[in-house]
Amino acid sequence: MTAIAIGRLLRANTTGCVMGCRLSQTTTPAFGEMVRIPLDDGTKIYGLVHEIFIDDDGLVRQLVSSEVSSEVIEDNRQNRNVPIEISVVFVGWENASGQVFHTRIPTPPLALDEIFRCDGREIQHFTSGNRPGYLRALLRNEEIPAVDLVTAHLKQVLSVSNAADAAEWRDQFLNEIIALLKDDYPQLMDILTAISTVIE
Amino acid sequence: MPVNYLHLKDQIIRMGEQARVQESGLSVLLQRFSSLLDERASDLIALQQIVDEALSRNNNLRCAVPVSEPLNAHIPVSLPAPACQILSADGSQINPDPHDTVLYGLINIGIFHIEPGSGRIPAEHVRSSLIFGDDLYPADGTISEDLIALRRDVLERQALAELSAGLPSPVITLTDGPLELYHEPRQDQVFRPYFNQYLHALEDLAFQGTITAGYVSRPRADLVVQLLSLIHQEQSIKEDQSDIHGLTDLALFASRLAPGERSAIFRLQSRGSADYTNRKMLHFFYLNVGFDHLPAFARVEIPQWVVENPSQVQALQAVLVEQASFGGSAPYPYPLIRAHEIAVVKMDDRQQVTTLIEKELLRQGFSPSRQSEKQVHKNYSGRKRLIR
Repeated sequence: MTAIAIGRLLRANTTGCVMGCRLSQTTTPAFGEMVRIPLDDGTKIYGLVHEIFIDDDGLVRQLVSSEVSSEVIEDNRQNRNVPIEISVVFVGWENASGQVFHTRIPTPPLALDEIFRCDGREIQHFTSGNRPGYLRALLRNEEIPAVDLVTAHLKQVLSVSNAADAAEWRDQFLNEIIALLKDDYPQLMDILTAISTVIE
Repeated sequence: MPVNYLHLKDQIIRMGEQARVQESGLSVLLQRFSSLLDERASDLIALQQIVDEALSRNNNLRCAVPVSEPLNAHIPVSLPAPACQILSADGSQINPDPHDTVLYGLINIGIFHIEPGSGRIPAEHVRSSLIFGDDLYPADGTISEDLIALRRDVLERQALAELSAGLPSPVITLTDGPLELYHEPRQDQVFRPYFNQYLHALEDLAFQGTITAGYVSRPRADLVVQLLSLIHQEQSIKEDQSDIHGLTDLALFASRLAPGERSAIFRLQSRGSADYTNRKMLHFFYLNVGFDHLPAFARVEIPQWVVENPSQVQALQAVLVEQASFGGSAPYPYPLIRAHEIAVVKMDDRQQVTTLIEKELLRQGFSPSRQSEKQVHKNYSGRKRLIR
C-alpha cells in the first residue's frame, strides 16, 4: 500500500524541521512519533516529533466562545488555512543503499518535501543493528523536551518490536542513557523516572 | 508628525460637546416618533396614501412604506432553522492604479456554500476576473471605481444565481450590503448594461425561488423615521427636517426587538428602487441577531418574491439568527464572514498578480516598466530615529 504524506516541509536546517499539515486528529502524528522524509536521491531522513503547534486567528477566537455546528468546525479544520505546525528533530538518516547513520544529516530537506509516518518495520530498521547513537544529540539539545521525547520514543519502539528484540534494545537504550548522563545525576534520575512509567 | 494633534484637541472637545447637545435633542424626538409609531401602527392604508401623496410632490422621496404588518410588530424567531442550502457571496477588487508598473483591474468573488445540519464540509468557490484592454476604457478615461464596484456586484449575483440553480430547495443566498445598488440611479450610460445584468441575475434567482437577501450590519438608515416625519407634516406639525438628522431606524427599533425578533416588513421607496419592478420590488426588515446582553441589529433587504412567501421569510430569519450566533461576541452570519474571507484580495496577492503580468509582458517583448516617480517616492519608509 502506498503511504500517504501527513504534511509538507515548511522550513529546515540540519538539526530539525517544521512541517505543516492539515488539521485532523486521525492523521496528525503524536508527540515522540518517528517520521521520515524521503529525498529525491534515495536518502531518507528520520526524525522525532517534539512539538505540535496549532495556530489560531480572530475568527477561531470568536468561534470558541459560541456553540458552533459540526459544519462550522469542519469548515475551519478543512478549508481555512490554519495548519498544524509540527516540529521535528532529526535523529539520523539512511543512504540510498539502505545503510543507517545515527548522525547529523548531510543536507536539510527542501521546502514542500513530503513527510510520512514511520511504520513498525521502518522503526525497527532504523533502531536495529546500531547502538542508539542519536540519543547524544537529543539529550544535549536544550531546545527540545528531551526527557519526555526520549520516553515517548522508547515507548513507540518497544510497541513495534517483538519481546526478545525489545528487551535487548531496551537494555542498549538504557545503557546509552546512563553512559551519556553519568556526570549529570539530576537529569539521569529525571529520565529514568520518566522511563520507568513506560517499562513494565 | 502625521497629524497636528494640537489643532485637533479643541475640535475634538467641541465634537464631544456637540454630540451631547444633539443626543439630548434626538432623545426628545425619538420619544415623539416612538409614540407615533405605536399610535399609527395599524393605520397601514392611510400611511401608504400619505407616502403616495408625498411622492407626487417629491419624486426623490426615500422612505419606508408599510406593507401588511403593523409598524410596531416584533416577530419572534422560530428555531432551529430548517434544513437548507446557504450560498453567500462577497467580492473585492483591485482598482487600476496609474502609478503602478502595469495598468489593470481585478475582481475577485468568493462564494461560500454550507448546508447546516448535514455534517458535510462546506465548500469554497473563488472566481477571479482581470480587467484589461478595452475594458479599462469603457468611456472617456480609465474605468471608474464605481463601475468596477458595479461589475463586482453583478458577478456576485450571477455567481449566486448560477450555483443555486443546481441545488435542492430551499436555497438561501446572502450578500453583504443592500440589494439596492444605488440610492440614486446612475445617469452614465456605461453603467446601464451592467445594471441590467444585475437585474437579470435577480430574475434568475426569482425564477428559481431562491430566498435572496442582502444583510446590512449596524444600519444607519432612517427610512422608517422618514415615513414618520411625513405623518408629522401631514398633521401640520412643521418639523424642521434638519432636526431629524441623526435619528435612525435603529434607535426606533433597538428597544423593541428582543434577541431573534424581526420588525415588520416594509417596502423601500426610493428613486433607485424604481428599477426593481414586479417580483424584484425591494423590501426590508430589521432583525436582532444578538443575545440578551449583546444585541446586534441588521437591516435585511429582500425582494418581493420572498415577501410573498411567509415560510421563506421565517426560514431566512431563523437562518440569519442561527448563523450569526456562531460569531460569538460579535454576532454576524458565519457564511458572510467566510465569503468575505475567501474574496478579499490582500496586498501580497496584488503584488503577485502584478508580477505575473509584468513577466508576461516581458515575454511578449515589452520593455520593463516602472512605477511612477510619485509612487517611487511614496514607497520610501518614513524617517526613523537613529538608534545609537
